[in-house]
Amino acid sequence: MLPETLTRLWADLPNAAQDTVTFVALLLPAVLIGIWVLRGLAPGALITSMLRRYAAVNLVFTGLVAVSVALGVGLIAQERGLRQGSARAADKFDLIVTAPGSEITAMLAAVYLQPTDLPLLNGAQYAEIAGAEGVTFAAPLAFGDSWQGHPVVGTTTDFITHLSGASVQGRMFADHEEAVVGALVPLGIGDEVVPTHGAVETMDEEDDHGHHDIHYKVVGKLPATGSPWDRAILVPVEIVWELHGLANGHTPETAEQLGPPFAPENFPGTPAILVKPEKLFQAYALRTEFSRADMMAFFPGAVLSQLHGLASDVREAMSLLTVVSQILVAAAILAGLVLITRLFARNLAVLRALGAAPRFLLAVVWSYAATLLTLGTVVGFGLGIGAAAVLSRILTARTSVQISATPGWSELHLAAAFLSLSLICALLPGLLAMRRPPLADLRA
Amino acid sequence: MTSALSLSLRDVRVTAPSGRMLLDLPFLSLPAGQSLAIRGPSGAGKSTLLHVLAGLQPVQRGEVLWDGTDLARLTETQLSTFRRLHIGQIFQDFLLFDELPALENAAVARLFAPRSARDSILQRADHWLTTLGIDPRDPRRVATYSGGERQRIAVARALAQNPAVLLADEPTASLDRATADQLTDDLIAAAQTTGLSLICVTHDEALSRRLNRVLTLSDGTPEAAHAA
Ligand SMILES: Nc1ncnc2c1ncn2[C@@H]1O[C@H](COP(=O)(O)OP(=O)(O)O)[C@@H](O)[C@H]1O
Ligand SMILES: [Mg+2]
Repeated sequence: MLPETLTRLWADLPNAAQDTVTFVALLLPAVLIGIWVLRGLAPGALITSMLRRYAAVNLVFTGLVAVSVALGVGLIAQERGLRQGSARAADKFDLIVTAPGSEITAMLAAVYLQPTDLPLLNGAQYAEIAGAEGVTFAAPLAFGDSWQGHPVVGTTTDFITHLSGASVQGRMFADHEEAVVGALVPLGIGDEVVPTHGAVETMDEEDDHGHHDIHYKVVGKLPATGSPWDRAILVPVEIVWELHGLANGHTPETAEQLGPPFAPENFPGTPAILVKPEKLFQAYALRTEFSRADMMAFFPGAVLSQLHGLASDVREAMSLLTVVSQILVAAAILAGLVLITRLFARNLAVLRALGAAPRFLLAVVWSYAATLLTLGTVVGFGLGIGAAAVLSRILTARTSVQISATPGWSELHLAAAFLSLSLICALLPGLLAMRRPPLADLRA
Repeated sequence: MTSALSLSLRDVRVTAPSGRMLLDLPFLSLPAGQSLAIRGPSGAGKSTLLHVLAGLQPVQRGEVLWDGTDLARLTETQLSTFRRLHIGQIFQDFLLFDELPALENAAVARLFAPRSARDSILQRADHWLTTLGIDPRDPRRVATYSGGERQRIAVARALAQNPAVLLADEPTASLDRATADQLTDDLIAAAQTTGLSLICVTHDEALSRRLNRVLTLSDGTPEAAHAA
C-alpha cells in the first residue's frame, strides 16, 4: 500500500525534480561520510601540506581519476547529443513517401540531404498522394545542383513554410529565379547564386559539371532548424526540373505556375514526397495506405527510433564497459590511495604520538583522498563535457546536423555515483592508517 | 599548565614479537617536576622505555603509573587523549611537517584538540616560538630552516600542548656542539618555567649532567640508578 503510494508520488514528480532528488541521493553517501568522518575535527592544514608534499603524485592521481570520469561523462553526453540532434533534424518530416527500397537510404536523402540515387515516383503516384484524404500538403523534391558545396533543393513553399515555422526573414520565393536560403548559407537577401550542376549526384543526366545558365536571386532566409536543410538553397521544384531538360510539372497553359497542383503527364518524377498529414491518426492511415508494392511510406522518427534501438545494444555494451572500467578505476584508486598513504606513514605516526586519536588519522587520510577524488571528478566532468562539445562541433560541421553535447542529468548522476563510491572506498586506506600501530612507523 | 605528574613504574617487561626481551625494568620513579636522563649504548632499550612512558609501546607485564593512571589499562583512544593532555614529545630527527610554516607546526595539536583548547594551543605555540627565537609570523615552510631551528620548533610544538611531562629522544644528537648547548639551555629553562617533568634519552654529557637523575640501561635492564 505504502510502496504503491510512494511509487505513484515519485512518478507524479516533474522530471527535473526526479533528477534532482536522484542526484542528491547519489551524492548523499559522500556528504554523510564526510560529516561523520570530520565531525569535530579540522585537518585542513595537514591536507594542504600533504597535497604540496607529493604534488606530482597527487597530480597524476587526480589526472587518472579525471580521465576515467571524463570517458564516462563524455560518452553519455555525446550519445545523447547525437540522438537528440538527429531526432531534432527529423522533427518536421512527418511522413515520407518514396519508391520501395531502403527506408534508411530514403531518410538519409530526404531528411539529411545525403546524395543518393533513389528511384523516382511518377506523376500519377504524386497525384494520388497529394489528393489523398487527410493530406495537408505533399511536397516533391528535386536534387542535382549545388553552390559551393551547398545543395540546391527544389521543393514547394508549403514545405518550406512548414520547415521554417512560418518565420522566414524576407519572403518566400514567388518566381522561377528566386531562392530561399537556409540559416547556414553564407548569402543574404538580394545576393545572386549561380548553381553548379552536379556535386550532389542525383538525377544526373548531363555529362559536364558546368554552371547552369541561371542566376537565382535570394529573397528569403530561413531560421536555423538544426538540420542539414540549414545549409541548403531552396528553389521552386519546377526550375530544377527545367534546368535538367525535363518537363516542369505543369501544362503549357499553366507553365508559369509554382507549386501544386501538378499535371501528372508533365511530372518528371521525384525521389521523395514529404507529406504533412492533417491529424496524427491520419498519418498512420496514410502510412498504411501508401505502404504497398509500388511505393513505401514511413515516419523518419520511427526509423530513427529503430536505429537508436539497434544502437542501444551497442550503447548498453558501452555502458557496461564504462561501469566495468569505473570499477577497475575504483580498485586502482584504492590501491593508489593505500600506497600514497604509506608515503605519509611517518607523519601520521607523529600525529598519533602527539596525541591525535586514531579517528583523526581516518579523517586526515579520508579528506586527503576525498580532495583528490573530488578534484578529479569535477575536472573529469568538465573534461568529458568539453571533449563531447568539441566532438559535437566536428560532427555538426561534417553532417550539418546540429549536435550539441550539453551537460545532462545522466552525466551528473554518473559523476555523483562515482564520487560517492570512491569516497566510500577511500574509507579503507583511512581505516588501515587508523589501525596501524604508530610505533612501527615512528621508529622507521 | 596541567599540574605535574609523578611517575611510578613497576615490574615492566617488553618483549619483541620474536620473544626477545627488549626492556625489563623492576622499578622506576620520578617525582613531579623532576628531570631524568636515560643513557646507555645503542640498542639498550632507551627509546623503548620512552615509548612505554608515552603509552605508545604496550607492555607485556607490569604497570606504568602517571599519578595513579595506569597506561597499561587505557584503550588506544584514551591513550591518545592522555598523550594530548599530558605528554610532550621531541624526536631525534624533529619529525616536523616539512611543507607547513613554523607556527602551523608548533600549533599542530590544534587540529585534533577539542575546539575549546585550540586558541590556547595557538597562543602557546606563538609564545614558545618567540621565546626560542623563531619568528612565528615567518611564512617559510620548515624544510628551509636549519637543524637547530627545526629542533626548537619541535620543542615549541611539544610545549604548546602544555604537557606535564616532556619526553625527548636524543634531542641534541643531530645538532652541532654550540647548537646542542643552546638547545640544552632552552630545554632546562622551559622545564623550570613550566614545572614539567623532563625525561631525556641522551649521550650528551653536558645535557645529562644538568638533570636531576640518571638511568643507565644496558640490554633492557638498569645498570645503576642514582641521584645526581
Ligand atoms: N618493533 C621491534 N621489534 C623487534 N625489535 C625491536 C623493535 N623495536 C626495537 N627493537 C629492538 O629493541 C632493542 C632496543 O631498541 P631501542 O629502544 O630503540 O634502543 P635504543 O634507543 O636504546 O638505541 C634494539 O635491539 C632494537 O633492535
Ligand atoms: Mg633510540
